[in-house]
Amino acid sequence: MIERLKSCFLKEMPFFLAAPAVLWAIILFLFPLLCLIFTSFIDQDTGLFSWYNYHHIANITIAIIIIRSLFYALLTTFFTLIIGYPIAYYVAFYARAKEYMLFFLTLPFWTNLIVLVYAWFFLLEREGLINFLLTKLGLITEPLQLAYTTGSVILVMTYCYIPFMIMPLYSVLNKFNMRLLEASCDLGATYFQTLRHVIIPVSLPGIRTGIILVFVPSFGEFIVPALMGGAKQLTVGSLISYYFVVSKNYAIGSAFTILSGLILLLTAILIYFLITLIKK
Amino acid sequence: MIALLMRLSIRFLAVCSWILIFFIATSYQQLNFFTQDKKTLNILGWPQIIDREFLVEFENKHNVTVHITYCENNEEMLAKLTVGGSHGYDIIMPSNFFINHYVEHTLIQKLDHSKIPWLKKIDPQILNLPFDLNNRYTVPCFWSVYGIGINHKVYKKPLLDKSWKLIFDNLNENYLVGMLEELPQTYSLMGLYLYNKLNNFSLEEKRTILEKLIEQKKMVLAYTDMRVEYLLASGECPLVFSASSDMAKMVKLYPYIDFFVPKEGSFALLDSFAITFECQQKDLVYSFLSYLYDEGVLNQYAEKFEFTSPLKINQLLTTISTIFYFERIYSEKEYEDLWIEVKAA
Amino acid sequence: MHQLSYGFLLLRLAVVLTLAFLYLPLFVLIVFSFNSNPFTQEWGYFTTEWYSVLWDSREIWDSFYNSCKIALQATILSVLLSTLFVSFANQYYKKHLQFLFYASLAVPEILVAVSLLGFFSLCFIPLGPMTILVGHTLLGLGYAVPIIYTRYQEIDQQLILAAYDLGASQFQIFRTIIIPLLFPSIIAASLLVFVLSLDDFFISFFCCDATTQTLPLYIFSIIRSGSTPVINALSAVLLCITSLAIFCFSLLQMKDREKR
Repeated sequence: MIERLKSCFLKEMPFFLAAPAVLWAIILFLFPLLCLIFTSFIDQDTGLFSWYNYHHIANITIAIIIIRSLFYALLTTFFTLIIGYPIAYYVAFYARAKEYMLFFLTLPFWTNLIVLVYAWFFLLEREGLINFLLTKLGLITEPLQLAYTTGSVILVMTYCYIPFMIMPLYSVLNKFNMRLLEASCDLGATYFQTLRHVIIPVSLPGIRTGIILVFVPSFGEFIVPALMGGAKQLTVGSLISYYFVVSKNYAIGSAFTILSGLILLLTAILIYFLITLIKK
Repeated sequence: MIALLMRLSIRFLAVCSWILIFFIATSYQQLNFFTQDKKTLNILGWPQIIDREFLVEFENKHNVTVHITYCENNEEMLAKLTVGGSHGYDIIMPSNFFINHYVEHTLIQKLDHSKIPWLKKIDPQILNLPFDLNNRYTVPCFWSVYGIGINHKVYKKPLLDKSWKLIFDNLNENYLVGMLEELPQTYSLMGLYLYNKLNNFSLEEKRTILEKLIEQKKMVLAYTDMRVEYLLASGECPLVFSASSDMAKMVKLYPYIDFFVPKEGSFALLDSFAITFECQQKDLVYSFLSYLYDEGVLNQYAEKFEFTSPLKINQLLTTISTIFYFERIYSEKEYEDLWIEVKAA
Repeated sequence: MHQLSYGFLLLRLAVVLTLAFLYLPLFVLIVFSFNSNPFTQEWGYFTTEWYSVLWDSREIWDSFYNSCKIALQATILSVLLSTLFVSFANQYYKKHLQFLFYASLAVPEILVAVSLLGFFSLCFIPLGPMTILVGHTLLGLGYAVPIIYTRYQEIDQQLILAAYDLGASQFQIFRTIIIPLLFPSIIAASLLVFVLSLDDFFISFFCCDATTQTLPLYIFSIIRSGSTPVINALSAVLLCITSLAIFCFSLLQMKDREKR
């Protein structure tokens, strides 16, 4: 009997060893998400199930905050796409030491995010480098107010998320079948026609991945609006961190998080399907 | 069939054992806490006032380890003291407007004045204040007043009117100011500026204050926690709303930077030491406090963190006539909604 | 290949401008770390005093030590767990549970951090270095599992079958075949997770208590209080460290791909 038990135990050893990884993800990721959903439905005072938290946040102010975050995220995604595509194209098609190029492109982002934002202050402030150069060149007399504006927030967010756009674009463009280009050339297409009808459609999966990889995190961004934006505009991320860290109002905080998470999910799915439709 | 059951039960056991290991590992810290042999003195305090650097002598003399836990705000301090059972804190550092809360809930105990003869060494202007008459519960430590910092290189006009109007109401003049993130104080100061009173605002007055704050946002460059003096020094803003303790450094370094308290008056913040009710090592606490005050170690901290030590006569105090000690108008929850309204506008 | 001259030049220009855009802030940061003027941006004189202040500062070393400790533990834990998972889990589970690990990356990190915070308070787990470690390991798993699994899928199954035929037990196979073959990807994953954990801000911010100070948190609090160029010096040093680690990581990945 004991022998049988021992052999059973030994047989299950792989499971025992492999389990912690899965348990980790389930207990520390899925379960807390469920807890969050659960908390959002609990009324803080009575401890009973109620829609109170959602009622509390169902107002115009919150809607504006969510729309603003969506707007920032969309702008960031747009700019990263515009800047990232030529780069990925160049590295995939023309560069010789591709891996090294890629390494140098992504290197700045392996430093701390906060340090990068801080570095931008040196460029954008009134006595910063950009104003200094512009004044020296005689283009302006008074320093421009570049930092602490919405534009600077979008700029720095774009800066932070470019590698997330470059990587998927590069990986798709790298696998691009050169024969297609040759074929379109043979059929007499101009460069721009080829670009529009061949290259971009084929790279659409990469564009799709890149857009999702940039849009989703930039929606929850709060460091850049807090530092570079002067904490003047509330975004989803800032409000979530306020609820959970400063006012410790977990109930309403979770309600808000779940709500904005749902809206994010819906928007992301919408974008995904839009692009899939364009493919066809 | 039995084999299947055995397999499932073994797997279940495996999962349970991993979960148990996880919880033991994460609660290890708490368990460790209770089995410590060496005496500890646990302080709940603020980051830029006290740290462990100058306490080595005290620790060696009394053979004790001093643990300091830092908080960001008073609510967090209260939560750490009350929520989740006794954490063994001996000393806390409440701000002046929270002291009566602690007294009401018997969280701090009365001081034995016979054990603190050095109390008279402290500047009398910060002793015996209305929120703790005769210093029954607290010993003052850190004093700061809110005011306006000005960079004369950027604000080139002569300073005629030393009033809160400069940062609260000057929309027609084209400059941007830096503000602190502290809404309760800003709110009360706006109330002081508009209505010249500290509390008992009517609902309509409260509404006006909020609207004015939202309107004032147009002339705000940035809301920061502690970066206002940097904004001033780097020339980003001509004027900032800040506290005296933060501006001290800048005023010393740069001759063109100045700090003043507007004529309508301002709020002062006082952080003090208090002994918790649950403290069992009162003698140790009194020796610690005398180490700080009587032996002047607090001056070392004041120098390090650049605040005015309570042991030195504070000349700034004597020049200001209208200083009030800050009290809250709203509850914390109501501030939350106000904060969101102002920020989201 | 299409090589319209002016179009190509334009593309080259775009690339150069973008690279300049990417590196300009870092360049400025490093240059200003030698500025003598602490608070404004006027150039005083060239000095390395901030680097010596950095070297002497006890708090920075404390938080660096904390960060490294947590990063090391998180790396060991996540790489260990992912290797065990990839080697020992049932094929069925591996294919279908993979998304579980990707999901922690797909979701905005603030959501992960916030739900962890809720979980910890629900189970009365005190916040501290342990909770930060837990969070970092979660993130680490999301990166380590794909890297190691991709490599595992390319292991020749014939080798394993042969070993079974020769009578090896599962653990012997693990020790002598799987680990050596997975070794490059294990190192690569460790480097990646270490750098990630060192730089991580979101999870540390939400899951820490007031006493634990990791390096990103310390930098954040210092920046918020108007810093001296010590932060520039610190950033320059961090940049060197992390770029070295990532350089090794890329080299390993490249060599690995060449070998196959």
